Amino acid sequence: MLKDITIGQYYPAFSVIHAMDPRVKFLMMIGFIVVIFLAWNIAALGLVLVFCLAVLFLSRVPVKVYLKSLKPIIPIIIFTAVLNALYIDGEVLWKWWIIEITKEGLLRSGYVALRIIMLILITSVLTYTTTPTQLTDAIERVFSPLNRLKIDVHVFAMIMTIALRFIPTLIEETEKIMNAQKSRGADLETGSLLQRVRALLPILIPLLFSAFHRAFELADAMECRCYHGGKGRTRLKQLKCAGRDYAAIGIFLPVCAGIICASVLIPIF
Amino acid sequence: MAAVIELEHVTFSYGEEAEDQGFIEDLSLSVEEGSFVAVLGHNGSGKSTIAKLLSGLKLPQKGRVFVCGIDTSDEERELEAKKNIGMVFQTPDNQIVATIVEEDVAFGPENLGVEPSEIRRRVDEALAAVGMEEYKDHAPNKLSGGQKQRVAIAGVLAMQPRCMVLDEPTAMLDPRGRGEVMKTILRLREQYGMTIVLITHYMNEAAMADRVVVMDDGRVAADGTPREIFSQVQKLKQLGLDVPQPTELIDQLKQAGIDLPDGILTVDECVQAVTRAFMEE
Amino acid sequence: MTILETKKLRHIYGEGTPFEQAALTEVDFTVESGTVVGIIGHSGSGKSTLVQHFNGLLKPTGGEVLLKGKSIWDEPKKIREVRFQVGLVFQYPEYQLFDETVEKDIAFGPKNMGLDENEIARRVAHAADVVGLSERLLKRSPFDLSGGEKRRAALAGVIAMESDVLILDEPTAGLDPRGRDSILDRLLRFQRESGTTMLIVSHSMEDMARVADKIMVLDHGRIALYDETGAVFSRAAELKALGLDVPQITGVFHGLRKNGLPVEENVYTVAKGRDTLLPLFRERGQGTC
Repeated sequence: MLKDITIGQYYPAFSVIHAMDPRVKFLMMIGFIVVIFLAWNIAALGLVLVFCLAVLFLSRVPVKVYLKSLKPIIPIIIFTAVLNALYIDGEVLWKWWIIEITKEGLLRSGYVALRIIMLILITSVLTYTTTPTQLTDAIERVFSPLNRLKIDVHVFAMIMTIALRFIPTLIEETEKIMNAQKSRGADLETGSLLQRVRALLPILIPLLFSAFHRAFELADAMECRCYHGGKGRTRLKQLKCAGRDYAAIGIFLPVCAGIICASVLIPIF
Repeated sequence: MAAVIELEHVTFSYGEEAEDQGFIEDLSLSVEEGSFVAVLGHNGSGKSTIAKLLSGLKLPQKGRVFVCGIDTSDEERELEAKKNIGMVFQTPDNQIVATIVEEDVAFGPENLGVEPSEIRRRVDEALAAVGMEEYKDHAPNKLSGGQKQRVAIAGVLAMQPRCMVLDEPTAMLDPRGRGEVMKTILRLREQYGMTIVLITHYMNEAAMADRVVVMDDGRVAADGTPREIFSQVQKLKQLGLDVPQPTELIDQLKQAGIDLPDGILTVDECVQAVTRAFMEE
Repeated sequence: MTILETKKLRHIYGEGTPFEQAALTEVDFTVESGTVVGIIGHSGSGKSTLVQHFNGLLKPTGGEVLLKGKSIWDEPKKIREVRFQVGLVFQYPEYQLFDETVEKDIAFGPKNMGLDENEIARRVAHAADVVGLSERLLKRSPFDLSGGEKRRAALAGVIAMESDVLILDEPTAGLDPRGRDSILDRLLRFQRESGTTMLIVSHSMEDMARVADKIMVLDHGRIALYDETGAVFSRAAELKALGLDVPQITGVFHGLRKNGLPVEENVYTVAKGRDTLLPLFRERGQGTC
C-alpha cells in the first residue's frame, strides 16, 4: 500500500546521536561520505566500517530497522558488484566461455558493495536520529551564508517543511481518490500503456485540484498567524553545540585523518 | 466595555458570479471584550465572509473593519491587527504547518519574533489549555480531526490574541471531535476570558454563546440572546437553519394550542416543560 | 430476499507485521433487498472497513461477502462487475470530480460499464434529476460548482451506475441544514421509486431516524446491535455505553416516561412525538382540535 512509504522517517529513541546538534550531524555525514570515497584499501575501508558500526551502535536504533533501509538497495548493490567482478582484468580465478572472474575484480566488487552499504547506513543514521524539522533547520542554518548571495535560504527551508508535512496527507488522499474512482469502475490495472496513462487522469486531476486548494487555505492560515517571511523570526528550538558535539568532532576528525592516511600510505592490495 | 471588533457599514462581495460564496451589504456589528458571540446562517449567507474580513485576508469594499481599534486596511499596523485576532478555520489539515505538534504551535510566536524561552512557555501553556500536552512530540497527520483542531486552537492561543474567531471549526468533525472542540472553546472563555466569535450552522453550539447573530443575504437577520433567537422557530426555519428537535416539538405542540414556554433548547428543558404542562391539569 | 450477506467476515490490517490491527471480527450480517440500513458507530469502529468489503475494494482476511448468494471473490477477475452492482459513495465525494463538464463526470461510471451512448445519456439525465442538478449546471465544469452542488454531482456519478445496492458514507457530512435536508429527501424518494437497497453510514442519529428501516451498530469491529430502527433506539442505555446517542426526540420521550407520563419509548421523529403527545393533552382538555 502507498501508506507504507515513509519519507524522512524518524526513529524516536534517547541516544547520544539523537541528542547531537543536527548541524554537526549533517556536516559530519557529508564529511563521512567524502571519506568513504577516499578509502582505497582494506585497511582504510576497515577503519570506515568500524567507525560506521560504532555510530550505528550508539544510535540505539535496532539493527533490524537499518536492514530494512538497505532492502530496497540490494538489487543495485548486486548489479554493481557483478559488473565490477566481470570487468576488471587481473589474475584469473575462474573462467567459463567469455566470462572471467579475477581476484582484482572480486576485491573491487566487495569494495563497491561495502561503500554503497555504508553510504546508505550513514544517511539512515542521520534521518533516523533527526526529525525532519531539525534537519530542515540544520540545512537552513548551514547554508545561511548563501543569504549574502541574495539567495533566500529560509524560503527553501519553509518549502521543505511544508512538503514534509503534506506528503503523508497527499498520499492518503491519493488512496482515497483511487478507491472512489475504482468504485466507479475505473480500470487501472489492464490495457495498453496509453490506456493506462489515460486511466490516471481521473486520479491526477482531482489530486492536483485538491493540492492547490490546500495550498491556498494553508497560505491564508499562515498569513493569519503573522507569517511574513524569514525576517525577524525567532525559533522555539535553538540549535546549540554542546560538549557531546565537540567530543564527536574531536573523535571524527582524527578518524578521518587516519582513514585518509591509511588510504594513501598503504599500497592498494 | 470596549468593543474588540467593530464593523462599520461594511460592504463586500466576491463579484457577481461568485455570489454563492457569500457577500455582505452595509453590515454594522460590534463585539464587546470578553463576550462569546455565535454567528449563524446557512451556506452563502455571508457568515464566513465576516471571518475573512476580520482576519484582514479580505478588505471591505465600503466601510471599515476595526480589530482592537486598528483598521484592518492600515498596512502599517497589519501585523499588530493579525496578532490580536486568532483565526481557526474549517479544514483541520490545511492550517497546520509543521511536522511536529509543538513546533506548529510555536509557528505564530516565531513569526512575531518572541524570545525562545518565552515561546517555550507559551507553547506549553497553550497545549495544556487545549488538553494536548501529551501529544506535543506527535506528527499532526496521525491525530484525529478533533485533536487537529485543538492543535490549531493552541497555535492561535500561543500568539496571545485578544479575540478568537472560529469559522465552522466543527463542520468536518464527528460528534466526538465536535464535543472536544466545543469543550475547549468554553474552557478558553472561562480560563482566559477570551472574546470569541464562533461561526457555525449548528444551533446547539450557538446555544452556548451569550449572543447570537443570524445572517441572511449579507445582512443581520436577527441579533439577541440564544433564548430570544431560538423562540422564533418559524423564522429560523425560513432562514435555512436547523432547529433542535426539542425546540421543534414544543413549537408544534404550541401551534396546536398547548400552553408551553418559549425558548426551549435542550432535551432536559423539554422534558421538564412537557411534564409540568401535563401535571398542571 | 437477502441481497447482501457477510459470513464470519474478518479483516486485519497489516497482517503479519508488527502493526497488525484487527478492524473487523466475525461479522455476520444480512441485508434484505429494497431496505434502507443505517450503519452507526464512532470513528474507528470499523464502518469504513466494512463498507469497502461490499464492493471488493478490500479483500476479507477471513470469511465471505455474498452478493445475491454468490461470493464476490469467486472470480477475482470479475470484481469490477461487483462494483457495478454495488455502488459506493465515499465521505466528502467531491474530490472524485475530474472531468471537463458535470455531465461527462456523471457519465464516467456508466461509460466504464461499457453501455451505449443512448443508455449513458438516459442515465446521466436521470441521475441529475434524482439529485436535483439543473440542465444548466450539467454543462459547467465541476470545479465551478458550489460545495452543495459538487456533492450532488458526485452522488449523481454513482447513482448513474444504477446499481442494485447503493452505499453512502456520510452523504450529508459538512453540509448546512438546508443542503442536508434536500439531499436526504431526494435520496429517500429515489430509494422509494427505484427500490434500490441502501446502506447509509452516518453519525447523525436524527438523520438515521428519518431514513433507516433497520440500524446496525458497530463497535470495535463487531456488530453490537442490529434491529429495526425503533427497537435500536429504545435501547438508549446500551447505545450510551457504546458512546453513542439516541435522537434528541427519543431522549425527550425516555425522560417523559421516567417522569411517569404514559408514552412509548420508541418515538424517534418529531412528527411521531407530536402525534403521541397531542391526544394525551386533548384527553385532558388542552389544545384545539
